[in-house]
Amino acid sequence: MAEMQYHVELVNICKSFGGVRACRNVNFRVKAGEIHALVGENGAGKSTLMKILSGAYAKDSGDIYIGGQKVNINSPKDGLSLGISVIYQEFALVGSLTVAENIFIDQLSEKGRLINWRRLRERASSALESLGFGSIPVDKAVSELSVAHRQVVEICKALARDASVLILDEPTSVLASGEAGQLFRLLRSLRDKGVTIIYISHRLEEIFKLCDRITVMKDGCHVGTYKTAELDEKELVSLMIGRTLESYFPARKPKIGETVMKLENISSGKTVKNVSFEVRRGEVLGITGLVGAGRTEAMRAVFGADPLDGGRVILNGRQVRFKTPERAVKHGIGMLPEDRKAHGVLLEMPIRTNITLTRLKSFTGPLKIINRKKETRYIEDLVKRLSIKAASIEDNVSSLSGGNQQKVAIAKLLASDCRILILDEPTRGVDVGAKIEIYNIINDLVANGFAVILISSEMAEIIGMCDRAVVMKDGSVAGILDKNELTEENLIKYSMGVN
Amino acid sequence: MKADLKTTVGDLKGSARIQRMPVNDFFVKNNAPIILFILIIVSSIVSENFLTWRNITTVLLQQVPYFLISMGVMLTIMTGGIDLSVAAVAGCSNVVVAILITKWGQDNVGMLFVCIALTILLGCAIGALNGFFIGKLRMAPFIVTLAMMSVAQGIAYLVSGGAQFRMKNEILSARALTWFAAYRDPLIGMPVLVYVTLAIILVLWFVMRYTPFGRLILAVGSNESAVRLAGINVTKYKFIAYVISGALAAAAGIIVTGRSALGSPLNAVQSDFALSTVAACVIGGVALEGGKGTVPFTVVGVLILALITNVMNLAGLASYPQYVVKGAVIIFAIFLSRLGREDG
Ligand SMILES: Nc1ncnc2c1ncn2[C@@H]1O[C@H](COP(=O)(O)OP(=O)(O)OP(=O)(O)O)[C@@H](O)[C@H]1O
Ligand SMILES: [Mg+2]
Repeated sequence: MAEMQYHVELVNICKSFGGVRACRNVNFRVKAGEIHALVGENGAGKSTLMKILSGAYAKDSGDIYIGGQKVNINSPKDGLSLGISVIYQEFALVGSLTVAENIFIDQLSEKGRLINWRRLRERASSALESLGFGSIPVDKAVSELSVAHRQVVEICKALARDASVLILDEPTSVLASGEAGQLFRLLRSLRDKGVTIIYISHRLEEIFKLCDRITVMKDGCHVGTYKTAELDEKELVSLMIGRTLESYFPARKPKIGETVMKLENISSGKTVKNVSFEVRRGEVLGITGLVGAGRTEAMRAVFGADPLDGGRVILNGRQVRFKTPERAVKHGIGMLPEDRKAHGVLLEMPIRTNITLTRLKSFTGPLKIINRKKETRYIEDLVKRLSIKAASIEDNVSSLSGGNQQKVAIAKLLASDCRILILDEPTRGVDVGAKIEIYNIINDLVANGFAVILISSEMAEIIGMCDRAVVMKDGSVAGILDKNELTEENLIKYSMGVN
Repeated sequence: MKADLKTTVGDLKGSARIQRMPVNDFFVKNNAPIILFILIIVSSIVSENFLTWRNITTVLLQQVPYFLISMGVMLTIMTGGIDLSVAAVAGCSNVVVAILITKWGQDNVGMLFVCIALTILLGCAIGALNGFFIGKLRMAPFIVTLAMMSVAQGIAYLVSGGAQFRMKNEILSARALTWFAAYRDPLIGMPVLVYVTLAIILVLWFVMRYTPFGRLILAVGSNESAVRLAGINVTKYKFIAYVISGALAAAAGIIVTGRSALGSPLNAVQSDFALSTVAACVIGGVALEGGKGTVPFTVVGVLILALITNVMNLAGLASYPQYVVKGAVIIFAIFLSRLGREDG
């Protein structure tokens, strides 16, 4: 029988999707009032396990105990009424509604009454205040908040429904390294108030900073549960991926050539002002800064996805201007978008359709018929090269784990034959092993004369991968750092603007 | 078995496939053909005339305009849009081609082709306008095509002066058109129009299944911004979808003219082309949010609606209650087609 010291117990949980066994006899026990990390490779089954706990998926077999009581959780509603709240990486907030409306979305008024707006605002601000975020304006539309603050609102909403178990599925992947601190302070204070927190992340250094215990999953199985103090990062990685890693950032001998693209005083909307820099053949150029510094917006304007209001783009010595992404791609510039689900992949389409989207013409014969054999060969080649884990290339991308979805997006980009690649957070939500694979791909590309622009919020990634880095702040370039100036200190200094 | 999550596609091809598709899944995926099958059985029990060759060929002939329009509407829905102007475009073409034939086709059959070509061009033009507003200016398909419906209805009234008129039988081109629209091949008695329609459907089926165009139409509907950012000209594909839809609607209108020898602006207002064809698509599994659907299933959708009407006629149901039954059946069929979806 279950022991009382555990708040949440999952016993012998099994779950399969068709032929894929996402959870196999998983045992997972979380104590009351701890921050418990759940880690593992992409596709290890972490999200699936949490969806079973919250009621989003039905388990095939196994038992769930909350506070020692065996419970039946058959729908998200059951989960909520047991105090289980999940915060997904993709926000579940309604952007056009205000902070207050979002927090109390399912309890806008007392039973059968009209909405008392004044009272609603008061309740919202006192709820935010109790978390230490009284500064967030309750009347603002959520879409106008920073990502970090949206997260706070999301947590506040969960607590407003009396959540006693808070599950955070990769909450920091959208935050810059510096911004996560706020979130951590909040989580610690919630733990001290007795909230049980399950924390999923691929950023291992966070886990050591934040969590009390760690459960590792691999291939749908429970590997073990450890006190954080018992492990170091190396050991944790080897538990996760089953081998030891020498270094996270594979070495590369830079072979840097001539300038291929030069930006002069790029402006776009209100978010990008006078951005100038250049990128050279064989170079990995980083762009970093806080979330909202205008990194993505600047590159989207260059790429033709957003209007370019001012400035010049000079490609191989000739001035160009891309009205649409189509023009940019024709000129050999490709982009891996930041938001994978919204812009990166076609979730409800097979891997096949995704990868060859831009190069279908290269598989057609005289009648414009797609030669499927030829196409399949091409796809399987890329799938192997990027080690995309999937049962079949006819499976929809939505059935893949986050990291593998990202690799499909990268495969699609590589298939477009572009020589200048803008990678916007390419390793977001990607596990350590796959990260290194992506870094290897990047190194491989630049070694072959590609130019890579790497937008990243992770300082370690910028330092480890880039030959130079542009630091942006408030829509402008705060500094351009050479390899030997790339230190954490410098990056913070320029991105925060403390000189 | 421990390795199956780790292997890459090459090694694991098929291991997930080996598992049999659950029976339940099979019914959900194929609900349209199953409904059709059941309908055929029910119909043949209700009426002994149903399974006669004469009835079958007649139903197919009646459905020719629906088949044509559904194909166009299907394309627009696949791109994530919709074309509600089709009924009006067909009605407008019905009037326009009748007028052109009356004007130019007196004693020259060759002019018939010119009249038909011009009318289809008119359909293309209206479709192009739809495509421009929706594809290029990114306006909402629903309201753009609804407004275009009004425009096409207006044109139908304007050019006809508001009254219905009959093409005179002395007009050579008119005679040729009505003859062609009713002609059945002497071997098995199948109307030629059905062959023409079948050819068009086969071409479209082939294009959707085997060519980049078909792949990209569905891709655009599945995630437009991802396709755009991959460097594909989304506007072009949407535009083409609406142009084809307009052209096929115009063709349907010409066929209505051929079968009735009438040019009637009322067609532009009263026909159920828009509702029936959109419903046929949805029943056939073309998702209204785009990115899903196949040509054969859409054809099945058209047939399902056709059989419902046919069996009500054969059973001698009066026409007013037929409207009610048909609407109810459409709603029920759409309900069925949603059953298999997780997003509820
Ligand atoms: N709805 C689904 N349909 C089919 N297969 C699925 C579905 N959801 C998950 N899977 C499969 O189950 C396995 C576990 O996926 P899950 O999302 O739980 O992984 P994860 O550990 O959360 O990975 P990540 O770190 O990438 O988010 C994967 O192989 C995935 O392809
Ligand atoms: Mg996950």
